[in-house]
Amino acid sequence: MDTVVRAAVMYAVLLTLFRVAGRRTLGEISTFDFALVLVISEAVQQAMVGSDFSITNALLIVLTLITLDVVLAYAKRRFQTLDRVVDGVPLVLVERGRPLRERMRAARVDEDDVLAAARLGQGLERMEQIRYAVLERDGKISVIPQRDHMDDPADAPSEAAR
Amino acid sequence: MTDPVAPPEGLEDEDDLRFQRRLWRVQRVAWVVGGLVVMAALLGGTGRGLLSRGRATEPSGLLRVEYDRFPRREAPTTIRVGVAAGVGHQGRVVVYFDRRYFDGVDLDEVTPQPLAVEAAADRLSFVLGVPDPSDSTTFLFRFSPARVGPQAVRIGLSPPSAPPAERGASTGSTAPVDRAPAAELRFTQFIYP
Repeated sequence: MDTVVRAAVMYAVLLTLFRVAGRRTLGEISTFDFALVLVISEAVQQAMVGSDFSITNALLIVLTLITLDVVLAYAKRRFQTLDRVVDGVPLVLVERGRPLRERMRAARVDEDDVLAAARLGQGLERMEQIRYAVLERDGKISVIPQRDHMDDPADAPSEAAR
Repeated sequence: MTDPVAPPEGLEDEDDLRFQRRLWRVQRVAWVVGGLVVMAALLGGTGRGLLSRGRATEPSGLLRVEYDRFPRREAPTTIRVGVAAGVGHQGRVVVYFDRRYFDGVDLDEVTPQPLAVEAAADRLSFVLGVPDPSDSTTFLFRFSPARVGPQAVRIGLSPPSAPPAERGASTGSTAPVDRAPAAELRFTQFIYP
């Protein structure tokens, strides 16, 4: 019994912590983020395993975590509020070439991040070429280019990228 | 439901919807089975919980034990041995375990510490102090199972032999009306891997 309870408590605590910490925290995993995940897993492992090193305990922990994940995914589809609480909502960061600075500050994203996403995804060079940039629920930034810039013969590189 | 679906045009890789559907069905079944296992575990079916709580009382009520029905290998488990009030001879009781039990488990600790441990051909006896014979007492035996599978346990009370210092000196006539009866309990544990 306590194996399942321990695993469930850790699942809930981690879910809450990562949700409160914000989506950019591990949205784009850097080397340091990766190290952080390893350290967290090491710390959590102690609490979940306790003094029980049996195979049964290990299997039960894994099974409990996966089952909770399946149940949560099902519940998210069923209840929209839960979905928004757990996964958040998309946030528009740039609108018609105009960065929405207040939102970006609150989401801890700066213009460089948006420009990097624009370069990587669309081969864009400047902010004004962006029609919309959206911070998606998974922490990635999606970029939609301005329509008129595609017709602009000066934007050869982005044409090539398409 | 299993209507043949033409592969989408223009895709180099064909999908296999029939196979995918079969896979989804297997997944659904696996989720249900996994959920049931977790439920069973919550109830104690894999150790520590309602289903795992074992209790046994000897008909005379002198000896009772609480134990884990489903301990796990290499995980500590405790057998609580309760001795009724009035049992004991000259401030001590002797609780014995079937010797074969120790083939399958490692004894980590006895609380309170036994005054002596005596080995016989078929049993291991723990001489334990009972400071107040008018009260019932509980002794804790902490084990780490080393073997997997069903494990028979035999626990009993045996009349203590006279303490070595007094052996031969007094022949028991001076002792108050202590009871030191024999009682035995048998039960089975199932040890998970």
